[in-house]
Amino acid sequence: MSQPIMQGTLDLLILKAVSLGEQHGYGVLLRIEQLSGGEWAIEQGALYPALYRLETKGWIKSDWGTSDNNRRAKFYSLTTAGRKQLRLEAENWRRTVALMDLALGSETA
Amino acid sequence: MIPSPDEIEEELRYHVEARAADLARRGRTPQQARREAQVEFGSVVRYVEEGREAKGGQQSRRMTAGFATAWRSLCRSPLFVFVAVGTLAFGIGVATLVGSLARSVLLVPVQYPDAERIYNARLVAPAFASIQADLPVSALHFATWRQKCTVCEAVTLIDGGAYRLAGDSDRIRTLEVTPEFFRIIGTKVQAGRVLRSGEVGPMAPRVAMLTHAAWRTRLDADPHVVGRSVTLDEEPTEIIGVLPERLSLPRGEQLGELMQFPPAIDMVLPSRLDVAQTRPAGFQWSVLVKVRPGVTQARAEEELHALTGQLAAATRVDLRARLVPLQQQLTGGVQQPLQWLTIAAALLWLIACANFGTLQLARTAARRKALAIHATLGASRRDLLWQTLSENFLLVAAGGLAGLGLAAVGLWQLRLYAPAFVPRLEEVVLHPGVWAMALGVAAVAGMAGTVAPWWRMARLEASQALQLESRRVGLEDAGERRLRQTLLFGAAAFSLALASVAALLGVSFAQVLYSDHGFAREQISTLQISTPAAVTSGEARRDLHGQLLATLRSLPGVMAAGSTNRLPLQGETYVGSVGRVSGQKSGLVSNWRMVSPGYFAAAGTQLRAGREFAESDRGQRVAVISERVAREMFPNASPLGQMIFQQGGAAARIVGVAAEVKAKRIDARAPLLVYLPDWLNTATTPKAYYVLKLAGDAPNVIANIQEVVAGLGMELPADRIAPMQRFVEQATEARRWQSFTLIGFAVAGVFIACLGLAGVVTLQVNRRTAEVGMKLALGATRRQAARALLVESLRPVWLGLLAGAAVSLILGTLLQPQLYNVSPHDPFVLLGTTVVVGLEVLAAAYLAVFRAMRLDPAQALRAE
Repeated sequence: MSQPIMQGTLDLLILKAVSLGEQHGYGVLLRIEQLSGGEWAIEQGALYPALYRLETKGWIKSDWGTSDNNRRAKFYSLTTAGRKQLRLEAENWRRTVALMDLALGSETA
Repeated sequence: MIPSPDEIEEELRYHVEARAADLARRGRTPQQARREAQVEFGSVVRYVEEGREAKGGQQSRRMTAGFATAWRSLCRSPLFVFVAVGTLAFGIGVATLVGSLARSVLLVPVQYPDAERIYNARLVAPAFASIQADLPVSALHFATWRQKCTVCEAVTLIDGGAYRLAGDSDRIRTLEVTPEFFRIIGTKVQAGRVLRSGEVGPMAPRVAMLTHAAWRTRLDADPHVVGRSVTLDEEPTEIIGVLPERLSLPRGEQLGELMQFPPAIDMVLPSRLDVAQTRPAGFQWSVLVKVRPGVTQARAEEELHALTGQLAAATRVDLRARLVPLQQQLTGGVQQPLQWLTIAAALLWLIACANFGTLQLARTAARRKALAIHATLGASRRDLLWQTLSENFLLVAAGGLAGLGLAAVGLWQLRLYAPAFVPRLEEVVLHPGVWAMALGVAAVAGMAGTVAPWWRMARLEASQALQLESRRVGLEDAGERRLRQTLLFGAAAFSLALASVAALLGVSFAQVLYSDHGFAREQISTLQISTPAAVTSGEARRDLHGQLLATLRSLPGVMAAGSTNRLPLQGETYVGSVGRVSGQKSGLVSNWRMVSPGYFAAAGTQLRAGREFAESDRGQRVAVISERVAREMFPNASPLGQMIFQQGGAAARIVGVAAEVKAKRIDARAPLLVYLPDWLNTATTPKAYYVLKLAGDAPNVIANIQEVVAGLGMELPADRIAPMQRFVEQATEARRWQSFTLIGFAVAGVFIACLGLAGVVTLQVNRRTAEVGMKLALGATRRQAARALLVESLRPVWLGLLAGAAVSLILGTLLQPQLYNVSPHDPFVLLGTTVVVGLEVLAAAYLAVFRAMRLDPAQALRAE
C-alpha cells in the first residue's frame, strides 16, 4: 500500500523529477513513484494544479513536443530559477531532516 | 502562464491515455484499462470540465474569454438559464410596458403644440351640481364663445358619430368637428389637407379625413386615397386628407362621461350642426378652447363666464363656464387606475429582481467548489470575477432584450384592443429610460447574488478555499445568509402585497359584476327605436309606440315588454326637482323617467312597495318613486298614495316604490329616480327604448321583432338591438381589465417568488447533503431532516409574509377609492390571500425539498 505524499513535499518532488530531464505530466507522476520506490502515490488531481502553480512561479516551463509513442504531449523542464529553487528547497529539506533526526535521535537510540 | 482550457484538456487526455496504455501492458483488456484509468483519474477529468472555466491568459483576451467561458457555462445549465431569463424577461417586460404607459399617459404633456393652452370647456349648473358636476356645452354657447371670446385663439365643437361605409360591414366611427379643431391640435396631415375654415355647418361639403389606422385597415393604405370618393350613409364623400400615425383623438368618455365618443376613430368629418336649429338648453357637445399666449385659465374662465351670463335668458338655467386643462381632462379618469397598475407592475418587477438575485446566489454558492478548484488551477481572482460577471451580464442582457420584445408585443396588443378608457394610447412609446432602469436594478440584484459568495472566496487563499470547500458541512457565510434571507423576505412581502391588491380589486370587480343593480340581465334584450320624422305630434308618437309595444308583447318568445326614455347605465337625463304636495319638503333634484306599463316587469326591476303602472291607470297622473326618493321625502310614512309634483308640473299620486337602479356608473350610487307613465310624456323625443324579456328558447325572435318594427314603418338596425348584459359589460370593462391584469400580475409574482424559493431550498439541501446524510445515518428520519431544512429556509418567508400583510393594510387604505362593496381591510380577503400565498410558498418549498432529498443516506455521506 503506497503512502500518501507528505504535505508540502509535492513541489519539491516535482522539481526533482523534472530536473532529471524533460518530462510530461504522466511521466512526472511515474518518475516520482519510481524515485520513492513505489512507496508514494500522488493524488492525480493534485499534480496538474501543482505543475501550473510552479509554471506560474517561473520555476518550470512547458513546451509541446512528441512523446515516445508519437503523440503530442506537453513537456516540462526546469528553468534556471527552478534549478536554484530546487537547490534551496533540497537544502532546507535536508536541514529539516537533520534537525528532526537530532530531535528524535535520543528516543530511537 | 496558465494554459488554456483546451491545452489542459489535451494534456490530461494524454495522461489518461498513457495511463491506460500502462495498465494494458500490465495485462488489462483495452476496455478495462481505459475504464480504470478514467476512474482513477475521474476527479481530474471533472477538474478539467471546471478547468475550462478557470481560463486565464493575457489581459487582452480576458474579456472575450470571460464571455466565451460564461456562455459555455450557461449552456450547461439550460433549466437555470430558462428560469432566470424567463423571470427577468417577464419582470422587465411588464415594468417597461406599464412604466412607459404611465409615463406617456400621465407625465408627458399632450403632444399637441402648446397643449398647455388647450382647455375643455364645460358648463356648471349650480342647481344640479350635487348630482352632475358639469355638463357638456350647448350649440348656442359654443357659437357665442367662438364669435365673442377675445382671449381665445380658437374654439371648436366636437361630436361623435357612426356611418355606414359602402362595402364595409363595420360602421365607420367618426368625430365631427369645426375647422378650428385642427388649429387647436396643430396637426400636420400625412397626406392631403385639413378642413378649411368655410367647411362647416349644414351646407358643408361632404369631405372626410382618415385616421392613419383607418387608412391602413379600411382603405388598404391606398397611396392615392386623397381625392378618392367613398359612400357614407349613401352620400358620396371625398377624402381630403390622412392624419398622421401617432395622433391621439378624443375617444370614449375622455372628454367627460356625458360625452360618448366612439371607442376608436376612423374619420374626422366637418360638423354639419345648424346652431339655429338646436335647443338653447341642449347640452350635448364637447368644446375645446385654445387661449391666446399668456392668458391664464382664470382670465379665460372669467370671460367665457361673462359671455355665458348673457345667454341666461335663452337657456333659463343659471350656468357657469368651467375650463379643464386638456391634459387633466384626458388623464384625470385613468390617473388612479394607472398608478395602481404601475404599483402592481413595480411589485412584480421587484419580485422578479429578487428572484433573479436569489437564483444567482444559489448558483454561485453551488459552484463555489468549482471556483475554488479554478483558483487552485491558477485562475486569477479577476478572471473568476470577470467570468461570474460575464454570466450575469449575458443573463441580464438576454432577459432585458426578451423583456423589451415582450413589452413591444404587449403594446401592440394593447393598441389592437384599444380600450377606450386608456387615453393617448397612440402616443405611447416604450421609453428607453424606463427599460434601462428596469434592466439596471435586475443587473444589480444579479450582481449582488454572484459577487457576495465570490467575495468571500476571494478573501481566502486559493488552496485554503479548496480545503475549506472540501471539508465544509453546510456552512454559510453570514453576509451571504443575510442576502439570501433579505431576497426571500422581499420576494414574499412583495408577492403578498401584490396578491392583496389584486384580490381586493378582483373582489370589487366580482361585486360590481354580480351585485344587484336594479335590473335583470339574463334573457333581456333592449331595442333603440327612432320615431319616423313624419310623426310630429306627441299624440301620434304615443299611439305609434303603444301599437308597437302591444305587437311586441304578442310575439311568441316575448314574455314581457316595456318602454322607457332611458335605459339603465345609459346615463342620467331629464333631471329636475321634485317636491311633496302635503308638507313643506321640496327641492330634491331627481332623474325623471317615462316608462310604459309593464316596464318594471320586463326590466326585472323589483317593486319594494305598491305596484307598477297598469293599463287601467291610463290617462291618470300617477308616479313610481325609487327607494331613496321615498326615504328622503317620506322618512316616517308610507309614500303610497301621497302626492308629489314636478317643478312646473301638475301633481301625481305615488302608486309604487321601486328598487334602486344604476343610471350611469355601475360602481357609483344610484341617483334619485322618479318614474312617470309614458302617457304623461309631452316631449317629442325622437328615440324610444324597449326592454323585452325573452323566453329561453325562442328561435327567430330577433328577426320577428325586426319585422314587426319594419311593419310599423320604423327602422331597427342590428346594432340597435343589444342584450342588457352588454351594457353591464361596457360599464365594467375598465374594471375587468384592471382586475384581470392585476390578478395576472399577482399570479405571476407569486409563481416567480415560489421559483426563487424552490431554488434556494434546493441549494440549502445540496449544500447540506453531508449534514443531512449524517443525520439520516445517525437515525433521524427523512421527515425530520426535511422539516429542519424547511423550517430554516422558510423563516425569512414567514417574516416576509408578515411584512407583506402589513404593507397590504397600508396599500388597502390607499386603494379604497377603487374598491366597491369591499372593505380595504376585509379580513376574509386579506387572510384568504395570505393563506393562499402561504400555502403556495409552502408547497413550493416542500416539492423542492422532496425532490432534492430523493437520496439515500449512504449516497449523501459519499458526497463528501
